[in-house]
Amino acid sequence: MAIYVFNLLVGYYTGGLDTAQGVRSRYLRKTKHTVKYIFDTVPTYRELLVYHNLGICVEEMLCAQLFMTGNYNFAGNIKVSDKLQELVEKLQVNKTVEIGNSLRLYHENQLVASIERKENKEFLYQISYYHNNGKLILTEWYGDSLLYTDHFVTAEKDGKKYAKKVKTSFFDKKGTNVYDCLYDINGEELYVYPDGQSYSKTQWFYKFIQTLKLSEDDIVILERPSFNSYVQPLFQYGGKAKKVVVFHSGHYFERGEDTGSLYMNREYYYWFKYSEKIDLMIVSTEEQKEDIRTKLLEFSKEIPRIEVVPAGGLADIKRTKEFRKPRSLVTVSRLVPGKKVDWVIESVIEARKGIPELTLDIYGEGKATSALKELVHQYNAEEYIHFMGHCDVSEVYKNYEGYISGSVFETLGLSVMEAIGSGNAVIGLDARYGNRVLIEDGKNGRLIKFSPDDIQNPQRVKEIISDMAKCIVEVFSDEEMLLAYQEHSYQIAERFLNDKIEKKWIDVIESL
Amino acid sequence: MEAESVYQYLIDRQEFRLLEEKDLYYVFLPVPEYWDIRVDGYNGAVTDMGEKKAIIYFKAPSEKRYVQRVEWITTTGTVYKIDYYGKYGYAYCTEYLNSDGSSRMKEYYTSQRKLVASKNSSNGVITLFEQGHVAAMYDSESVLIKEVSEETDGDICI
Repeated sequence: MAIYVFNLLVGYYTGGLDTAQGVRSRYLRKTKHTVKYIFDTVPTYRELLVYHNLGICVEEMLCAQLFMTGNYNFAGNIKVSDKLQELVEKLQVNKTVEIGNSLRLYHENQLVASIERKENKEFLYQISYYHNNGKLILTEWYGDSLLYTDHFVTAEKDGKKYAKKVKTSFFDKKGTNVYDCLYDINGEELYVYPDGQSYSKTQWFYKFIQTLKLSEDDIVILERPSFNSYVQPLFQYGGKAKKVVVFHSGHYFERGEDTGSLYMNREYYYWFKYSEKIDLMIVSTEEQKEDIRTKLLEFSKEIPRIEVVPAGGLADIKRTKEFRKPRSLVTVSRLVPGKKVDWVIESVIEARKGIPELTLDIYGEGKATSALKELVHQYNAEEYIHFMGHCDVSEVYKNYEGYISGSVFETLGLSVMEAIGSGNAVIGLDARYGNRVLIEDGKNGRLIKFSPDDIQNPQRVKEIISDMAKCIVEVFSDEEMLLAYQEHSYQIAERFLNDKIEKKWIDVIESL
Repeated sequence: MEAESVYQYLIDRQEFRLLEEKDLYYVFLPVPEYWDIRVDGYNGAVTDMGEKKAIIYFKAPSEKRYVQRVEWITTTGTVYKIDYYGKYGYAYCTEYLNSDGSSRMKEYYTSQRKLVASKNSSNGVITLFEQGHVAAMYDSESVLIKEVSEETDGDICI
């Protein structure tokens, strides 16, 4: 009996979903099942560390590509000293430079190789080979033996040369090449075996799913976009394994609610088309559950069992004996257009006319960072609006009196949850879904009147910013009310403590 | 000294048995069980359930049907790799291609399919392997040829 979680992501910044997977790993470990988290792309060592730091044990991680070689143990024991000596002789290395955990090897001042070491610096996980002083040719990745090699060619894009990965060769424990993955064959990956068999990524995942030998005792949790390569193979050949899909995003967006989707979210098409084959849908809020039921009915689709289990929980309630910084606001999010941090900034600038000591600290990074910094600069607001970058914020919220969000849509809103867990008064939009659960208007903060139509209406945007500013002034003008809001945030947060969420997850998994 | 003889020398260094010179008759090209090999005009074809997987080109004289190279194709007909067969009847070289037909890299193998050398087509770098691990790197084929010539006192010829 096993739970297979599809999937851990490779090649992106970590976001709310990754954090939720890490938090939930602690709950699932308490079920009677063994749990395996599937990488559908080979992770780098750094990505293993990221998920490990989020709470998932390395032993629980399973890379599909390596699993198919039988050589998938990430825990390595290849000694740096042994390899270093070997490389010095082979590549005639006459200079070694240590930069952090990296060792750079030079031959006559030309970079020829680098060794990436694990934290203890005794064992290695990667060796890269270069020519012409730094042009990447080949990378070897090690566990307790050579796992795979990446091959690069020199390519050009927009007039700039770069190392383009064209092939990965996977090896078994004896060092025999089991198969290769060729990249960018008509834009796609092609899995090629020495005997001539070749597979698209989706076809290859069919082989992988077959190898897992899923049975009715197994549970498959799917929580990434349904257009991923493993989805059809899982549905078509996954046997009687129970299929659980988790919605970490909206399934339907009005215009402007999401920067990437309009109306039906294409990430979830498959769940709607084949709803009758799904054993359980999990959402974070009752409102989304009802919306999904309505949408399935609209398309005359079968309604599977739907349970409300918040995607994440709080480890503890963070009370502070220190004084919170007076008249301080904080916001935490990826800095992308949908989070409307520009509205937050403008509302704070407006509110400061009424509350001269008001400050705002912005945590997070994203593609809108430079535009937002420019906005702050335009208003000469650098003195009281600060960009704090990307960091661990779990202990940060309790230093502030209030939390503010301009987000026009949140499936749940882990940042707002953490804010109420730290006793912040909260100001946010009356937007689907999380804000309506985590912010009780007039009790732990203020919900600003909002409709998705407003996003495209400049007049309404002005009014929303003005309303946010008025609420900031109101919240910080009445000390008694502020303290009451903060105390009520703690009360709401009690509902989202890990032990309560954990019980929901265990109950729902054991009920399958 | 020509490049191909250098690669043959490098392969020979890692062969642990004497190989018999014997061309490969196309019908006996190693393929997955039950796949078919048939005549396809002037060439041969590898098929699986009727789907063409590869085109076999013959050495001259072509009527003997000895394999010279095998071009492996995607379902849409794009050649993604070419296996070259030498006098010992195995694929001693595999060339990987870009979708536009240009070369990405060539790899040279022993008869046991152990990787011996890799030539990067984009920048000319040659990487030599031993037991699956990088053994040496050369900025170009000419540097490699020069070194092998010196090592063998120019004793290799085609």
